[in-house]
Amino acid sequence: MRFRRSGRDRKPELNLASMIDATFLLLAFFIFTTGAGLNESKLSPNLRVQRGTDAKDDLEPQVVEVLRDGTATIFRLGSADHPTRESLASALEVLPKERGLFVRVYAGVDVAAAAAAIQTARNAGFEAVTYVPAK
Amino acid sequence: MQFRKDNSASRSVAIDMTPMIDIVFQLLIFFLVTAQMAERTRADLDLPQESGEEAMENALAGLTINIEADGSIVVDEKRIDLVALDQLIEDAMAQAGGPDALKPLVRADRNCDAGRLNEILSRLGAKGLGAIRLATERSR
Repeated sequence: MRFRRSGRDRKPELNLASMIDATFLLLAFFIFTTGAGLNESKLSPNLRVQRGTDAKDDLEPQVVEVLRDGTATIFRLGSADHPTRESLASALEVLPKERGLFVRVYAGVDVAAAAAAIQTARNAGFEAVTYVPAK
Repeated sequence: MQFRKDNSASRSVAIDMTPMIDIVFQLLIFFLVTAQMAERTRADLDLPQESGEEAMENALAGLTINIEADGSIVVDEKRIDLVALDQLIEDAMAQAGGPDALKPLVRADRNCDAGRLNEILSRLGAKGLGAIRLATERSR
C-alpha cells in the first residue's frame, strides 16, 4: 500500500517566470534611461587665466575673440570680424595649426557662442585650443 | 513488454536559469547605481549644442559644476556661492591628489552669460587647474 508523502518532505516549487519578467522590465528601463543621459559630449580646451605678463610669453598668439557688438555676437580674428561661425571656420582653415589658438571670451556673450568658437577651432584642426576668460 | 520512449523531440530540456538570473541582477544593480549617480551630478540644463570631441578620454570628472541660465552655481543638487565653490575646489583637489589629477567638468547653460563662466573658470585657473571640460549636448 502506497501513501502520499507528507507536505513537509515535498520541495516547494517557486514559479520564477513573473520575477524574471519584472527583472527584465526593470533592466530594459534602466538601460534606456541611462542611454538617454549619456547623450552629452565634451570640449576640453586648456584653461589660461589672464595675468599681467602672460601675453608676452607667447610668440604671436593666434587669438579669436568672442564679443558682443550691439545685439549681435561676433568672432574677431585679428582685425577681421566674422558674424557667423561659418565665416570664422573658413578663416581658421588657412591658419597654421601647430601654434594653437587662443579663444578669448568676453562677458556679454552667451556660453553657446563660446562653445561654438571652441568647436569651430577643433573642427578646423587645432589641437591646442586655449580658453582665456577676458576681464 | 514496455519500451522506453525514444522520441527525443518530445522530451523537455531542462535549462539552468541560475547564471542568467545572476547576470541579469548584476546588470540591474549596475544600471540602478549609475543612473542614480548621473541624476545627482547633472542638473537639468540646456547645454550648448555642439558635437564635442571625437577622441575624448573618459576620465572621471571628480568635480562637476553646473551653471544655470541665471548664473546660479549648482554642485551636487545644492546652490552654492563662489566662496563655497572655492572650498569645494580645494576639497576636490586634495581628494584627487593635486591640480593635475583633477579635470573638472563645467556644465553651463547655453543661454548663460559667458561672464559668469569666465568668473568660475578664472577661479579654477587661479588654483592651478589647467584642464577643464565644457559639457556640450549632441543635437538629436
